[in-house]
Amino acid sequence: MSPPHSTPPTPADPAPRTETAAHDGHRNAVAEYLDTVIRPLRDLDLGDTWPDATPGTDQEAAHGSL
Amino acid sequence: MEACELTLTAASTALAKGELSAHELTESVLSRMASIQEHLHPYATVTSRIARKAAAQADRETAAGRRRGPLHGIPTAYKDIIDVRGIPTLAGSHVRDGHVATKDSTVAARLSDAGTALLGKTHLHEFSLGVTTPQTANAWDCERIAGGSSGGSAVAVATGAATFALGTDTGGSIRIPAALNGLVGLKPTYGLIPRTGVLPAAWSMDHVGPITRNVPDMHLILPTLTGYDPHDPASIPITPRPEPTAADNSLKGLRIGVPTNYFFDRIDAEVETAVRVAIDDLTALGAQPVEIEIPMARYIQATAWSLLAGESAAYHEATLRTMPQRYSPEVRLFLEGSQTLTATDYLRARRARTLIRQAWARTLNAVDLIVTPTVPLTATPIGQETIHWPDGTAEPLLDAYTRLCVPANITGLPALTLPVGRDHDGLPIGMQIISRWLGESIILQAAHAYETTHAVAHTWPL
Repeated sequence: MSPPHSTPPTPADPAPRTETAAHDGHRNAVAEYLDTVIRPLRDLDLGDTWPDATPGTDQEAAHGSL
Repeated sequence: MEACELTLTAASTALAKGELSAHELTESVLSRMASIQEHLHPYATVTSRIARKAAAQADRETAAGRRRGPLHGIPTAYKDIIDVRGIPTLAGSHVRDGHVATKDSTVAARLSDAGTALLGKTHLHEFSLGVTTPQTANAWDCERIAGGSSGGSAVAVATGAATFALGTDTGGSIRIPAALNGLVGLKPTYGLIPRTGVLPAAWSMDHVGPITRNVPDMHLILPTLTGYDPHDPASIPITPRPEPTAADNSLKGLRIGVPTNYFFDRIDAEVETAVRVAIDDLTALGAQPVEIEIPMARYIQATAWSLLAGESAAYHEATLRTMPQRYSPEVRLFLEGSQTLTATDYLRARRARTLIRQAWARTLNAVDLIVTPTVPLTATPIGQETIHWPDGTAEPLLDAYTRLCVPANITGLPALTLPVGRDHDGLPIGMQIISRWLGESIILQAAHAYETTHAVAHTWPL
């Protein structure tokens, strides 16, 4: 007699699995595309550059153009 | 000419002289709205009762000698991410179903105080994350895209269903639909117009701005919209008021930068011709063309996409987890894909932006303006997802329409689009003028000079 766990599993409803797989595929394609688009930044020598400060509060820049 | 077809400047003058009442103007605009809404769908929510009440009040105040200013009695519309108390802000998304704003946004409060009459909220690409505005059709060809994300605002203004409108611009979302519908659209300097009460797309690149039918209308709107707002962290504490343009149209001594790279790469031939002719026209008005090389061009789109993906994914993190099915598949996939970006990617873009800003500031020391096409092609047929260029390359629609606009979003520099021609199908072509930080006045001066000498009075698509 086969143990109960050897019974072939009941097939799951294929529809959600297919939908999920398709969705995952699309999401991964988007992620891959974004990765390609932003890749040039990984080659950029940023040296000791700091991240930009909150823009729009740069009074020096503002006064410089008045 | 019907009252709804008057520019803001003309309508304001007629109202001030008593030649037109706010009631007559608002009824004319509402009538035009009713005639085009079924075909073009610029409006998400119509607030005709509010508009009529505001118009009646404006007329009463005028009769009592209490005219508030040039926007008194002018009908307007807002992109549906701008809060107005008591009215839904749906952002083109089922995620926002049932939402009603409890407070006015700063810009809505300022325009209400100025006496405008709110016609309604206009359609946009869901959460401002796209360039087509699928609910709405182009004013010039209903089988073509309106552009986006502020597509409803542009189509309302182009058709006379609003005298002016507000949009927002994170990667061109004011300038793209304004260009595709033959209008003037201004993305101001970052921080010049407050965003309190406006749903973000990407905080560090979001701007609110007006869409109008001509350049002088911008002058009437900006003094009301600008000014410090302590609730917007980016708001500029000391705000210069844009000055009216000089009476004379001479651009003598103005140095206009004409890019030799980036902005004229992969663009439609008719668009390039129209913009180069317009540059010649500016030169004939006294401006001095100067060839310039756009700095760090290779990193512009990479920086823009990193900032947009990181900030929009952060803003939508909770709702993407709890109600993902309420997003359209397109926007949900973009946001989920964006979540794969790392913090290092995002900060690399923030550091790159520091370098890009510094480089552009140096470029704008050598010229007063940079003049470019606004978008590389006119409005595409609805449903088209890819642009195939003559050099054999293919480009996603979103990339194609945003790539000439995003430099001004990354740098925060002011940029305006104005119409400079039409293609063989009669579709509008836009030219972009960019200037240095808080350089709105010089942009408007050049744009007004061009507009005046070309007598390009707004023509009507319908």
